[in-house]
Amino acid sequence: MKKLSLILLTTLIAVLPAFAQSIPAIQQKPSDLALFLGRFHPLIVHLPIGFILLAFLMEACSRFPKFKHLGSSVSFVLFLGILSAIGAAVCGYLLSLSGEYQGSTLDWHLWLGLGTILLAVAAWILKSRQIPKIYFSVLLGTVVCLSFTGHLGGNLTHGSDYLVKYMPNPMRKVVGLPPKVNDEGPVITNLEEAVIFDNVIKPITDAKCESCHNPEKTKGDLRLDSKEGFQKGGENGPVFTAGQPAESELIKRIKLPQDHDDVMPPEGKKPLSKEEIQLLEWWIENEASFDKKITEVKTSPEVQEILDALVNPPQKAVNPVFTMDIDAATEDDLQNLRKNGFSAAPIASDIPLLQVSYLNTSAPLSAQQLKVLSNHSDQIVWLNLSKVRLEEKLDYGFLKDFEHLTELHIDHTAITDEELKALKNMKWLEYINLYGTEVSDKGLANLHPLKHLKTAYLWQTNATPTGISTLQEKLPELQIHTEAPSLILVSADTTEEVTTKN
Amino acid sequence: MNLLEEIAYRKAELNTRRHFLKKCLSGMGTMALGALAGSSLSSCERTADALGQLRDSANPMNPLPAHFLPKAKRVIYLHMAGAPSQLELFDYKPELQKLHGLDCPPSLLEGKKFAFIQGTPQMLGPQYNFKRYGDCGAYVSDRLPHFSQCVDDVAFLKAMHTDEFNHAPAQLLMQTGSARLGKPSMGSWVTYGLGSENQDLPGFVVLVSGGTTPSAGKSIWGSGFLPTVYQGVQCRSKGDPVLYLSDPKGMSRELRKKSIEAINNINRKQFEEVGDPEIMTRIAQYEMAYKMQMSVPETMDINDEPEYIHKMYGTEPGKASFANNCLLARRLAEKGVRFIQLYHWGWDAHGAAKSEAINHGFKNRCKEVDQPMSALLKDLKQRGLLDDTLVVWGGEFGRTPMRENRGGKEMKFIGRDHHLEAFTMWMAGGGIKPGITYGETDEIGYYGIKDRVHVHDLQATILHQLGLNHEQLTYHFQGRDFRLTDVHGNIVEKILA
Repeated sequence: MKKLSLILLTTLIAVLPAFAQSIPAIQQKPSDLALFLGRFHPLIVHLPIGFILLAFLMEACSRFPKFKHLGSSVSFVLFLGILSAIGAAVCGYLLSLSGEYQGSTLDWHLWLGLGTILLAVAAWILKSRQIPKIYFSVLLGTVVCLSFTGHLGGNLTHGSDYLVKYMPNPMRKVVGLPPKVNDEGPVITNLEEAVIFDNVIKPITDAKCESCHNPEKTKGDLRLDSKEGFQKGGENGPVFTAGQPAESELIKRIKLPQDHDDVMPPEGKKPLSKEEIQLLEWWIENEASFDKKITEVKTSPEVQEILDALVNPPQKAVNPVFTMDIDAATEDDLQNLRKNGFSAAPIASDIPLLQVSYLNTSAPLSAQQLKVLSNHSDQIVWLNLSKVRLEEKLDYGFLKDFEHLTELHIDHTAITDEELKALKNMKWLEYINLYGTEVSDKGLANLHPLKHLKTAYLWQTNATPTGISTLQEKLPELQIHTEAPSLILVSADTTEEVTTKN
Repeated sequence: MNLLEEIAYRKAELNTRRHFLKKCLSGMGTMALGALAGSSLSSCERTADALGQLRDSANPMNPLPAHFLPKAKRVIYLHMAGAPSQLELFDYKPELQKLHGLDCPPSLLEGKKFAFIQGTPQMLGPQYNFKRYGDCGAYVSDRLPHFSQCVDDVAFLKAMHTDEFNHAPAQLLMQTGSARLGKPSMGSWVTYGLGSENQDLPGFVVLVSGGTTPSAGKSIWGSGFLPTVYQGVQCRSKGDPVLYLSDPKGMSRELRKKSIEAINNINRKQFEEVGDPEIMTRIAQYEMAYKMQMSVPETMDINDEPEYIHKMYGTEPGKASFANNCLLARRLAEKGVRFIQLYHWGWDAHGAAKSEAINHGFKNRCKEVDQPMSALLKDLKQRGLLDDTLVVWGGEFGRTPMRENRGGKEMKFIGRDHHLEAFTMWMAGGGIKPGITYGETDEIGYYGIKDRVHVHDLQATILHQLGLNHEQLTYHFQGRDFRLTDVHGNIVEKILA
């Protein structure tokens, strides 16, 4: 045992001097081998975390009679923890030489890491010396120190707000963080007043570049979190050449093919959109000014369009119902609908809402079938009940539950004006087919409040021209189809009769 | 020893040591094979494809979600087999009229291969009169008087081009994405990707008119390497739509049901043992055939259509015709059939015979399709079906602006040779922009000079409208993933509404 502790201490003493001169050493460019080994840090670092936590758990559990036997193994596990921690620390140090990580977070991470090793060694010696009282506190201290080190390491890799970014507001209140700001929506509210760099360029680089080019994680010795960083450039020289987007390193890197080694953002990160690239080019083309306003520079119609879209994001062409948070139907739900004679499937693999039709028009729908259908009224967006009949004493009142429909085929059915009241609930409806029904102007009035309605089919109904024109006035965008104009039949037959080869 | 004991004894007798060892060995072999083949045994019930889509192999035609929000739910594809002349129907070329009768300049012939043209052919001007129609002002010749009233509902693709100048390979390329045999047809890919809404009818129905099947034969509606359950089902438009639909004398429907159940149970056992998906196809086909005994006569009997519909389409019940098939196509669309493929043969207007010449037989072909296809568009529209039904019309290639001179001599009738560089197709409904013309050919209609659309682009666009990503709709076969558009295909964004 003594021998082992001696070896350990010697290793530590051998390694520590390397750290002592750590920070100034950054100036020299480290060897490739050092950088190669350094990148094993994220891999190895999970070993000491696991071992030390396990040692602590075993120690804690061994206090209970049932797990008493674990106590004798703690030393072994802890020793493994110390060894792997030393390995992780060495790799971590080598990684820091790359200069991609800087600032106080890095320093704290380094010293707390070393502290963890020292505490773990202390705990290990205390355990072997059988001094249980201080031993357990030291072990607890090791775990605490380890947690902080790990957290800082996480911050270095992912950014300091990574962990709490999606923390719900009540929880934020408890830990004393300011409430979450909803940062969706336009960044600029007024194009006249907007400063190009602050309001247009910075939001783009904040979203796509800043996470690797910030004071803590300064990849390529480049910071893109402030205008000073842009001006200073990185290890490969300046970021941009004012006035010449094609010559600017920033644009060149962004526009490289996705599988190129030097493409920015690197593989696995979200690339810039076509519009974002255009805006960056436009900014550099206009001297890459840091304080000019949008109104002070030349703007092509194309760029103007993109800028306008920043203020007024274009209305999504997709019906809002498709992005609503509605529980997806399970495979059992689908089976249940199918067993009851319906055809049912989700409309698309990324939209869990259902399309349902009933095509076996020779058999009228029963109360049981309607019940099954209504069970899924929330999930169904496309409902095809064309030519469907209902069993006696049933009516179409069940439709009132189908609030999420965007498409309803109810043509050639016995639906009445009265029952059409159910349509009032279908505020997302885009398409309705009523052809071949007894529907009259009175029933059509129920369509008036449907703002999303785009097409209505009214061929062979009792709707009068007055009713139709009233509907058209209420919904000017609506396309109303009645009978298509008949094809003019040509009587003159100039065709020669020729027997064709059969 | 009673009878049962004797049977047991005989059975044991047959189980010699040799048999025992053989069974052991082959059992091991099967296990190893199963493991090698990706364990088809354990995954026989439900398999997820590349997109994580669950497929229920017991119900291969169950409707499946599209890859993304679809614009069209089904396709009616009107294939004009033999390739109609774009220069006599849609692609109006007054310049060509001026060149009529002149020798074709050598620059147009150098390095070109034609199916029949030899030496120096003469230019052939448009043989029929053109006028502009509709709000969109599209040119249509006087051969299509009904269709000229529908131009505001369709999008013309004027600069289509293909790779093949013979009928069979060009038809295969158009319908299966490859000029060689063995690839699944478009309808098979679509039903494989989306299943079918109606479980009582085939998801992919084929209707043929014009007297003969297309040159490429039935392979153009085959399923290739996809499970055969996805192949097109040809229905006859004359007589019984499907042969042997009615039960034979003495066979009640109940008995038929029982016997099919018994066969299917045996097949299911076999499937559990060997996991061959073709067995599932067989089971599905038996079940489908049983259901079709009821559903097909009901759907395919056009006698119950009102008189004005027959008049509109020009249908004559009981006769095999393109008109009947158009009406059937609408009825099948109403019934939720996913892919309805029509072929009308007889457009190969070389001028070698009166029956196909531009100045004779061609006129008849025009007359046979003009009213029915226009009626189909109109009927779909007033029924509210054109919104989600994609209608596609076209041949497999185009025809030359030169008059065909088979054998280097002037022929008795007027005709044009096969031409792969430029031809016209149109699409309607299913989220396609109505009333537009996309693409342009040069002044004699020889090459596409603007917005050319290749066959694979058309296929990619059709799949796109159905909510299918043509690059993701793949099937793993012989060691690689295959798709309808092979390694090509760009969606024609400009014609999408």
